[in-house]
Amino acid sequence: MNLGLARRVASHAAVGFAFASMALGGELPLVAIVLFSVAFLLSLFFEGRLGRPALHLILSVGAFAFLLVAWLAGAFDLIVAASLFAATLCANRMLSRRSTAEDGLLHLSALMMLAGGAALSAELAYGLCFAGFAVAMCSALTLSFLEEAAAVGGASRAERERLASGKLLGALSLLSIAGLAGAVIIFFTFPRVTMGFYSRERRGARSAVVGFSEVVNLEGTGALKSDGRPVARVRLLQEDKGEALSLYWRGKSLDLFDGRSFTSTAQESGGGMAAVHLPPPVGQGAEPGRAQRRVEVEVLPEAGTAALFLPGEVEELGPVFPISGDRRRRQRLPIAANGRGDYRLAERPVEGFTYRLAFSPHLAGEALAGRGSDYGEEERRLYLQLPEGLDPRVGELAKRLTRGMTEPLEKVRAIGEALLSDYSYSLELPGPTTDPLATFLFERRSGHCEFFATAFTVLARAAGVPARNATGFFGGVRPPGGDYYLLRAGDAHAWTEVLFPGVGFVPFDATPPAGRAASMSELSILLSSLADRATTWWRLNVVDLTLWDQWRAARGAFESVSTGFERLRPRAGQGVKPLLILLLALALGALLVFTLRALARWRSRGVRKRGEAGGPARSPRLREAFALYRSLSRALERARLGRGAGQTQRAHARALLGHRCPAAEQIAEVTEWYLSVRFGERAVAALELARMRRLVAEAKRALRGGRASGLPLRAEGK
Amino acid sequence: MASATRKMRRRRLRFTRIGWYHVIFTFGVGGAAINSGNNLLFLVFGLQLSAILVSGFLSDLALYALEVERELSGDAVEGERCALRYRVRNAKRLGGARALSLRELGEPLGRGPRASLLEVGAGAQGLAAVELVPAKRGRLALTGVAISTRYPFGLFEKSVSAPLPGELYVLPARRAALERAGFGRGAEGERPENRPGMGVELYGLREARQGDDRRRIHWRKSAAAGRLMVVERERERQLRATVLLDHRGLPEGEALEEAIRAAAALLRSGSAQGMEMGLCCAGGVTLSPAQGEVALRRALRALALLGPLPPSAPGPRLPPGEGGRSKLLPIGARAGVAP
Repeated sequence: MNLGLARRVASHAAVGFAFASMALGGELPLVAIVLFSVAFLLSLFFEGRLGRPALHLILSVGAFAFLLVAWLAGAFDLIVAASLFAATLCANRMLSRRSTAEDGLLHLSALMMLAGGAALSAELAYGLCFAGFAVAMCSALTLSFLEEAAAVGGASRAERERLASGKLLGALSLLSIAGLAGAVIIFFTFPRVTMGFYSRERRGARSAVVGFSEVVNLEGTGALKSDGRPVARVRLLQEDKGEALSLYWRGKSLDLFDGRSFTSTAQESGGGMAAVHLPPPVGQGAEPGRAQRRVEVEVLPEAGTAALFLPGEVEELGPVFPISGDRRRRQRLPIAANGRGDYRLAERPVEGFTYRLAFSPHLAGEALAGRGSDYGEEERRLYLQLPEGLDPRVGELAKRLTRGMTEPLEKVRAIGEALLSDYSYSLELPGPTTDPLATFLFERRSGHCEFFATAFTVLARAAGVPARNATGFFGGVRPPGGDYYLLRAGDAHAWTEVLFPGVGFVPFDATPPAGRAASMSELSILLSSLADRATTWWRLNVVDLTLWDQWRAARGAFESVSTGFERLRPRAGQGVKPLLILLLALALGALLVFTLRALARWRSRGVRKRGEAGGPARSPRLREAFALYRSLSRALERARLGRGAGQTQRAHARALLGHRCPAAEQIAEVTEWYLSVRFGERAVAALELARMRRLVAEAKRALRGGRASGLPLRAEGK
Repeated sequence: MASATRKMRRRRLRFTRIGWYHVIFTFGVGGAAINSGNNLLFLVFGLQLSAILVSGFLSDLALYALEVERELSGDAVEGERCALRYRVRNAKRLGGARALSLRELGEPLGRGPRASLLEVGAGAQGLAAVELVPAKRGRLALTGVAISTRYPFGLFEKSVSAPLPGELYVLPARRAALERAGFGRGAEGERPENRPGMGVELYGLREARQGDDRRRIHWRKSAAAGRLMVVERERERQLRATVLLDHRGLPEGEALEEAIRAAAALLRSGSAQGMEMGLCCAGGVTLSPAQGEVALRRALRALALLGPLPPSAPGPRLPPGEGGRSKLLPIGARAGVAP
């Protein structure tokens, strides 16, 4: 592995992750993203060959001045301007890099970008970028530092390559994991105290993904039914074990048809209600299936709407809160109504919103029979309206389908059955036509939910039954292991609502059942639910973590520990007390370790003291040095090369050298060392002791060989 | 080689420049997080704190269980390069120590260059050296060694130190011309002493005794005599000279240094020619003539420690009985032998 290349890759990965974390917020101008990407690629491939540092300094100062002016002029928000400046600094650092000494500031500017990203984005993707950054940054800092240390220490190429080994890679991995784990621990344990002198709302909204629309346009395009991205979550507040919901979640009712599209003529009142309370619906509780139900709905930013989605006949609605933020301090969002049973927020929060509601399922079946046709003037005007120039075949078809029928329920059923049996579901669009409804009814005879809903409404109106189109979502599936239902982009739907006097609007759906909810594979459902759970976890436990949550978690942990101890506590009447035994064993073990360590310390201190006092036995190493020399002397005696009377050790060693005695060099070295150790009053190093052991062993081997050959006699000399 | 081994103790921490920047940035992000309540800023803050903590822990771990041994290859010479070598042993069973730098504690070596060691694996040892060029003679007291590392992030430098007492003598500078001149051919080698010994010249033959080296048997004479005869060599005596250095009244500075350097050159030259060299300096330094490296080193070390003396100080004094045996080599304006 090449140290420099590894450092470059890690550094660029860290910078890339940091910039991505900012760009995810959606507030950076496109030109900034493009320019940074170009600088990133250039520096990756042409590091150290791009211009002079002075030029980059001028560019940085210029960028600072430009961003300052832009901020003062109101073109950029302060945080965006600061983030752009951090990106400029980082790009300049990358382009002007000359040596590892400059990497520190590069990494610091990358950190500034990451902090900018934290202010601009709150997505789960930020979390992924953060994790990637943490891993890459730990590696980059370490590799950069090692590269610098190798350069300063004048390490050779071989040494550098040896350093950049698999072992280092393993150490870097552990280091990165440790860094990330430390960040997570500190994040969750650091008390969430805030002062709130300056805070900024996130402005860059997540892009809406849905097919939900507040108009039905027969020539428009919508989301595919296979789009499984979650747009809302529904949690039933009473016990529920169903796998799917079969509810129509109306977001908007549409009354005006112009031949091509359905729109609403209702005007929203800006009353700003905190909550809505309506009288109980007709016949509530009369049938077993019409018991009141309470749900909590979270509309995610992906829904891209401020509409409140309502199932059945609503009795209570609200209050509405933003999804993000401290749940105990959230502000209520004002609700606006249009007088036709539709509710929405005056302004859509960036992070989505959540509300609770109580509703009863609509009356259905024979309960709707015999309600008559006593409609009000306004209802007739709004819900029997048909466009001028409507194809006459539409009216004729309505008459043909409802011939001889007087009861509205009968007529509606006949029309619905005809559409269900004679028409098929298709996502293919008819292409440009002059009359899309007529094309659907009389030529193609297939289409998607908007065609079915529009055809149903128009045919009902043509048959004299007041009806309107409704758009929203149908269904809701429970994700694997979840305690809630998911509404997905592909669940966007359109249907018909028929007015029954004294009852209100009741949904009727002529779309074949297979085309009502999203059609997705099992794998797609699993993946989308996993993504949704990760997003939810991220939002609840990271983005919205509060001091209160931390307190609750700490209390829960304390209670868990207390419960654990309670379980371990021996019960009355038990002969053996396992907890007591465990504690005793631990205490004894600790005592043993402590005693052994104290003994070892006392012993080594004693040795040191004796050595300092100059006593006969100074240290174990010195004793071993004496023993080594004694054993060498004995070996020399055995080889008849022993020291003569009055001969000094040094003279003896020299004599052996002079007589070319076997291993004379080793003996001379050991002798010199022995003398220096014995009379030099110095410590004996473990390393030199090891070397001397080896030399003595070699000398002994050589002396044994020499003795066998019978060559040397006694050495002489002074 | 002089060496000593110590386990490292006493930890110290010092932030690097970039480390200070990181700390300031960390406080900035922490302040922004507390001010805004933005949890993601708390996350960045956590990462920064974690990096600092992990860095501190790992640098501690890198320095843990290190043993250092200083190796001095000999005395240094004024104006010449010398090397201080350190042998570092990593006694840990797991975990290497990376990017170590070693320096002497105390003045003036503490401010000098550092020895660096890129990596010492677990249970392994590494060798680092630093080159010095001592500017003046004398004795440098070595008090201890500090090992420091900035591993892993270079944010701060953690160091451990241990007392490792020692001393480094800086001998007087060489004077090549003077050393080459020497004492002339007549002064070279050894003189026979007219008694048996370990010399080169033939002294005589005698009958072999128990313990005689077989290689000394004179086979021809043995055959003629009918018994084993061995060759005896004549004992040799080295030439003796004593350098008399009288530096009284020489002011501290170049004059004194030159006198000392000249004395050192004579000592080196004589020793190289196999003479027994002695040294007598004003102020009471007296070393009897002796041969060999040890004697030369002792004399040069004595010169290394010489300081200026007032004119009234006692002059050089020869050891008793040395007057007639030793050739005297006076240096200094007033050089003479005290009675």
